[in-house]
Amino acid sequence: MSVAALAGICFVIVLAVLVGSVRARRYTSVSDFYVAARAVRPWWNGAAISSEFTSAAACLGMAGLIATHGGPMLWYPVGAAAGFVIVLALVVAPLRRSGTFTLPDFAEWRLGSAVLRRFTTCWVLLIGLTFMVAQLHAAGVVVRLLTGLPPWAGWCAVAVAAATVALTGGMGSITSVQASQFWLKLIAFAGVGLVLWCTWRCGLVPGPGEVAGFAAAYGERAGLAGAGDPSLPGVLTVLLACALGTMGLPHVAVRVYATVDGRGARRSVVAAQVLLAAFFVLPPLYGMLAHLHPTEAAAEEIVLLLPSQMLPGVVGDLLTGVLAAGSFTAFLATSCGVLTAVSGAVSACVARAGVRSFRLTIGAVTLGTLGLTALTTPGGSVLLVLVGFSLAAATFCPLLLLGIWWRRLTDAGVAAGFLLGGGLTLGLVVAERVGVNVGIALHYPAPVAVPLAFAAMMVISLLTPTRVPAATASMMARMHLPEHLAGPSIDRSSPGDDRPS
Amino acid sequence: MTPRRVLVERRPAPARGGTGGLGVCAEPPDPHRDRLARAVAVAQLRGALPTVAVVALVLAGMPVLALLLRDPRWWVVLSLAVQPVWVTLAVLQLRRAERLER
Repeated sequence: MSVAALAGICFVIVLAVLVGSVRARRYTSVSDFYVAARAVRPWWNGAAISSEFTSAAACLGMAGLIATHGGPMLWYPVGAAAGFVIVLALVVAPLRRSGTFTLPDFAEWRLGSAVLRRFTTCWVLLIGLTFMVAQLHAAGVVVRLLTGLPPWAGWCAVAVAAATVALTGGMGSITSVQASQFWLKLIAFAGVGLVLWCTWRCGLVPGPGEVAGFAAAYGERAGLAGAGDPSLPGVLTVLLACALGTMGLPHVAVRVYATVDGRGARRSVVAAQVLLAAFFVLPPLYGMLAHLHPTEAAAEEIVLLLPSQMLPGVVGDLLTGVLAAGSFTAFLATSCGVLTAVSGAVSACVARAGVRSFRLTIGAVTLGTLGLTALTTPGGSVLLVLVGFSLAAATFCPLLLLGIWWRRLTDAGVAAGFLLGGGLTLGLVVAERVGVNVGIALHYPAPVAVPLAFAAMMVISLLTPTRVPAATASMMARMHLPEHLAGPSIDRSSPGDDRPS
Repeated sequence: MTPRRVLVERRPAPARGGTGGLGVCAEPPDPHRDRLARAVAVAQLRGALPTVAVVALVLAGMPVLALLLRDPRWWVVLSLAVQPVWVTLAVLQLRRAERLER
């Protein structure tokens, strides 16, 4: 098993670094570096969005949860894909037309406060780190399980490869790497899934021919921040966090900025929706097959153990190698995306934005993530990723929705909303971890924290009407008017703007 | 043809105190543009809210509906059947939004 898995993992890492550096050019422009010169085409961008969205949690964790917790977990992939419909309907085109580069950039531009920028950057860093740590831990688990090497070998492999790709070429290379990785991942998981499903259907493996005990009613409460909780309120909490949190993920938002214009941004989200619909057939398939062939293993390990369990011998080893390669593409794609998005936001906050400070920040964030991974224990990628979603839903979601659609938003309101929504989510997660019981909200943070964040932002904004930026009307015009109606006075820093039409 | 890239040595500083930054806020207020922007925003919001309502309804209704289905195969079928619903909603929303901008 170890030779095939090791070969698969090495192949994926070398391929990512090669694809990343072959396209590397001399990036003199910040816009080139951060957002691929805003020239990424919709399908290519959609593949990159889907690639970084289908992280360790989507590839391995969800299927593991479906296998162990049964039917209620089937709704997780559905919720994860629903977020993009909301992004498309309410956020994507105005956000792209604002012409900003990152979420903290948007906060500062819209509300005219540099302090708010620094404050929101801390939240971007926090959300980004939860995603990165989840990927590194999953890589450690996979490497230890399949090759017998220590977990830190997996962490370092993913961290170094992601940082190399980000350092050599910025967003342009990352887009190529991620888009190619999506297809690789889809082919690997779908191919192996098909082989295993056919094997099961043809009755070539021992095991029940029918699915039993799968959809027993919603179970008992367990998990973190509603994640992994098979009770009905737990499932609904996760669905809410997914649907509203997607728009606030820094790596998803930065992809919106990489398109040519608002129309291109909308089309890339629709492309991502189509590709995700294809990919999200796989977690239920693997989850069901693993439910029929139960093992005593962690959620991330269940999928990887499935081929050798169903088809012992060389075929099983080969299929495991393919799955290991597919999993590493997932870890790399998400880590690259998050690393670039977070470094873009942090570097612009601590220094005047430039390629040099961006590169230094990539190094610092990578080292910080490795340190955090070493200090924490792997607790399941889905749980960690869903904490990131809950945080995004309680902070950046109200900022984006109110910032785009409501003229009376103020910086004081946003700060209050972040403190209340984000602080409450964080407090509840920590309380649950250390075992402090603070009532029913403890297990279901999103339905409490998200409405409170919205309410706090609106009430404090209404109480501080003097802080509404004077230029709100022109900002609204810039976000909502399509490019051809906006007039020549608006510069959205897109190559499309200075191309002869 | 590869699109020409804009060369910006440094990222433009965002707006501070309502002036300068990214080339928009220094403009004098234009009542006509403001009216147009309000009209476009209201039309887009009217187009988007039904989509959001359908998403909310499906997301909340599906796990509850599943309680009525005891056969596990239906759970899997239901969860897979929602993905094409999202794609259809996204395509319809895209068309509506683009039509409103024409």
